[in-house]
Amino acid sequence: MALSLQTIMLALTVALLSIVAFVISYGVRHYRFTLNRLFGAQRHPYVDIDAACWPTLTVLVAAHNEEAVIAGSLRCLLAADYPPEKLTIMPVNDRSTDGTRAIIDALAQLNPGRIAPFHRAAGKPGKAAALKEATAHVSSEIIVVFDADYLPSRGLLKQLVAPFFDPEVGATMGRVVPLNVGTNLLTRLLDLERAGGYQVDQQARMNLGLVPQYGGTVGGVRVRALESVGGWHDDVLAEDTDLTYRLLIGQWKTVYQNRSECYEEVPESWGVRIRQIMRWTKGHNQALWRHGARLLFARGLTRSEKIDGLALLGIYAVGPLLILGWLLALALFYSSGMPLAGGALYLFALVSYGALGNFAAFFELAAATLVDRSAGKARLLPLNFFGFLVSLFAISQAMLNQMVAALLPRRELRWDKTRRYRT
Amino acid sequence: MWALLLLATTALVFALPLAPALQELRRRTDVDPLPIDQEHACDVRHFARRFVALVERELAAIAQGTGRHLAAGYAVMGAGVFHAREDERRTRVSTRVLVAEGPLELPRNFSWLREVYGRHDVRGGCDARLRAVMAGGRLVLGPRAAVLRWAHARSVHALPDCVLLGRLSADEELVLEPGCRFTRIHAPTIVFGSVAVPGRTDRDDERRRALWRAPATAGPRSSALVAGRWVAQGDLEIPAGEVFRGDLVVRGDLVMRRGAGIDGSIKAHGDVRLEPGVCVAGAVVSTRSISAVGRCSVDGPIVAEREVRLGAGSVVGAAGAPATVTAPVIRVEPGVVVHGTVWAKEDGTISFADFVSA
Repeated sequence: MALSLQTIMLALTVALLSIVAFVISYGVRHYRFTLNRLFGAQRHPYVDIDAACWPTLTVLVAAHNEEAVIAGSLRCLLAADYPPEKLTIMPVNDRSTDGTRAIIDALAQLNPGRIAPFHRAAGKPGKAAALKEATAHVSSEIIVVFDADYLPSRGLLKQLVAPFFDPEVGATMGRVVPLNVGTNLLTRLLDLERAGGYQVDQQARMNLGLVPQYGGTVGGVRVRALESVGGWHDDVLAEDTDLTYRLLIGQWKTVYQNRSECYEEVPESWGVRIRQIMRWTKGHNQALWRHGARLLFARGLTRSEKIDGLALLGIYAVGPLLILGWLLALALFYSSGMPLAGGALYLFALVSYGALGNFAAFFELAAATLVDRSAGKARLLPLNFFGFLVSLFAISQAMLNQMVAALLPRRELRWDKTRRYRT
Repeated sequence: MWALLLLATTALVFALPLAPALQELRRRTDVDPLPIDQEHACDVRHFARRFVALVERELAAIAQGTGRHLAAGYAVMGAGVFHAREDERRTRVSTRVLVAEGPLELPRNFSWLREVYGRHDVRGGCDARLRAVMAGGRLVLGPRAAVLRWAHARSVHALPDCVLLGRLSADEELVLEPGCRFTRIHAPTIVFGSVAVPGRTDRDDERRRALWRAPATAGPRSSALVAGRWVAQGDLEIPAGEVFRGDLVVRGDLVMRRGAGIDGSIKAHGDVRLEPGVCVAGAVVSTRSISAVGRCSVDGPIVAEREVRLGAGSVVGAAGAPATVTAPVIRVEPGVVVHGTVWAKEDGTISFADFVSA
C-alpha cells in the first residue's frame, strides 16, 4: 500500500514536471518571438511591390445576415486601388434572412460589372461551405476573403496580392485591427490581445521563417494552391487553421504582412467572446488531430517549421494543462509524499511556469503596445490577467465538450457567426 | 492584529499594479483604434499631387486677397534664372516655396528648404540641395544635386553623382547617370546611364523571342514536380540554353547559365545568379541576393532580402507591363532599363565599380 502510494506520488510528480516543461517551452517561445520583434531583423520582402502586372483577383465577402455592415465593406472594395478589369467583388450571401441580399443586389446594380453576387439559398451551413460553393464559380488566380464587417483601405488588395509573385506562396495574411476599441473593458483587452497576436507573434514567425497563420479574413489564397490541397473543407470548425496546415504540408508558404492592416469589430460582450474562443479552441484542436502527425512526417519542410507548426496547433492545450498543473502542484505540496525533493520543488514548479509561462504572454502584449506607440494601453495589462482567466476556463470547457462530443453521434455544424455592433 | 496587517499588506501588493490600470480605465487616455490611412495606396506620386493641390489653393487665396499671410512664404516668378533676395544670396539658402510660371533655371550650390514648383521645365545647378521639386515639363538635376524628400516631373534626367533620397518619379522617362544614389524611383521607363555602354541590342530581343519558341525540357534535373511547381532540394544549376516551363522553387542557390530560360517564376532560398542572356518570364524572388550579370531579361518583379545587382543590358519589365525591383541594397550598372519601380530600402547606386560581370 505504501509502495503504491509512493509510486502514485512519483507519477504525479513526473506529470507535473512534464507540464511545467511544456508550459515553459511555450514561455520561451513567446519570449523568443518578442525579443525578435523588438531587436531582430524584420522581414517585409513583398510590401514594396507597387508596379506589376497584377494577377486576376476575386474578393469573397462572406455574409450571413449582415445588413448592418455589408454596404460599408463593399463600398470600400469598390474604391480599392486595383486594376478594375482584373478585380471581381463577390459577396457570398449565405441564406441571409434579413436585408443583406437586397443591399448586395442594389449595389451590384449601381456598379455593373464590378460586383458579382453569389446568393446561396440552401446547402450545408457554415462559412467554409459557403466559400467552397462560391469558389467553384471563381476563375481568377487569387482569392482574397473578407468578413462582412471589414473596411479595407484603398491599397490593401495590392498589398495582400503582392506576395503571390513568389511561386512558393500559397496564402497571405494581413493584420486585423479592432475598430470598436473604446466601447468597454472587454474591447480594450481584446485590442491588446490582437496587437500581441499580430504585431509580435505573427510578425516574429514571419521573421524567423516559421509558420505564420492564415486567418480566414484579410487574407488571400492562390487558387492553384487551394485546389492542390483539396479546396475548402466544409467539415471543419476553423477553416483558416485547417487550410494553413494543408498548404504547409503541400509545401506552400503563408506570408504575413504586418503593414496590411484592416479594421474589424471585436466582441463587446463576454458571452460572445467566450463563444468565439470556444469555437477557435475546437477548430484548432480539430486541426491538431487531423494534421499533427502528417506535419511531423511531411517532406520539404524545415525542422523549425515542423516544431513551430506543432506548437501553434497545440496552443489551446496550454490552458487546460496549466490548470491541471496548478492543481497537481498544490495537491503534491500539501500531501505528505515528496518523492523527488522537498516541497520546494512543487513551489518552484508553480512559480517558474507562472513567471515564464504566463508572463511571456504579457511581455508580448507590452512589446506590441511599444511597437504600436500606444503606451497608454500597456497600463491595462494587469487587467488582462482576468481576461486570461476567463479564456482559460472557456478553452478548458471547450476542450472537455469536444472530448465528450467525440463520443457522441455527429451533429451538423452551424454558422456560429460573431455578433455585429456597427449600425 | 498581525493577521490583519498581513492581509492588508498582501492586498496592497496585489492592488498596486492595478492602480495605473484602473486609472487608465477611468481616464481613457488611449482608447483610439490604431490609425490606418484608409486612402493609402502606395502611390509614389502622392506627395507631389498633394503639394500641387495645396500650392494652387494657396496661390488662388493670395490672388483673391484672402491669403495675404501666405504671400511671404512664396517666391513667384515668370521664366528664367531664379533671383535670390539679398539675405538668400548671402546664406545661399531659400526658405520660400518657389513657383515658376515658365522654364526655370536654378543656380548652383544653393539650398531650397521649401518646395520648388516649375510649371514647365526646371534645370537645377550642380551641388544644389532641394527639399522637393515638381516640374510640369522636364526636370534636369545638375551634377551632385541632392533631393531630400521627393521629385516629380514629366521626365527626369539626373546628372552624375546626384543623391536622390525619398521618392523620384516621372510620367514618361527617368534617366540616371553613373554615381547617382537613390532609394525609390518610378517611371514607365527608367534608364540607368545614358552614355553608350555595352547594353541591350536588337539581337538580344530576337534571341529572347526565339527562346520562348524553343521546345521546353521536362523540368530541371534533380527537381520534382510538386503542386504544379518544380521543387529542387538544395542547390540547382540550369545548363546553358536550357528552357523549361513552369514555376521553380529552389531550397538552395540557383545558377542559370548563359542563355537559359524559364517560362514562369523563380523562388530561391539561397543566392540567385543569372548569367548573360538568361530570360525569366515571371518574377525572381530570393531570401538572399540576386545577380543578373548582364543582358538578362526578367518580366516580373525582382525581390531579394539582401541585395540585387543588375548588369549592363538587363531589362526588367516591359513597356505597358511594369515590374518592381526591391531589396535593401541595389547596385545597377549603366545600360540597364527597368520599366516600373526600383526601390532600395537602404541604398541604391549606379556604378561600374565593384560589380563583377561574367
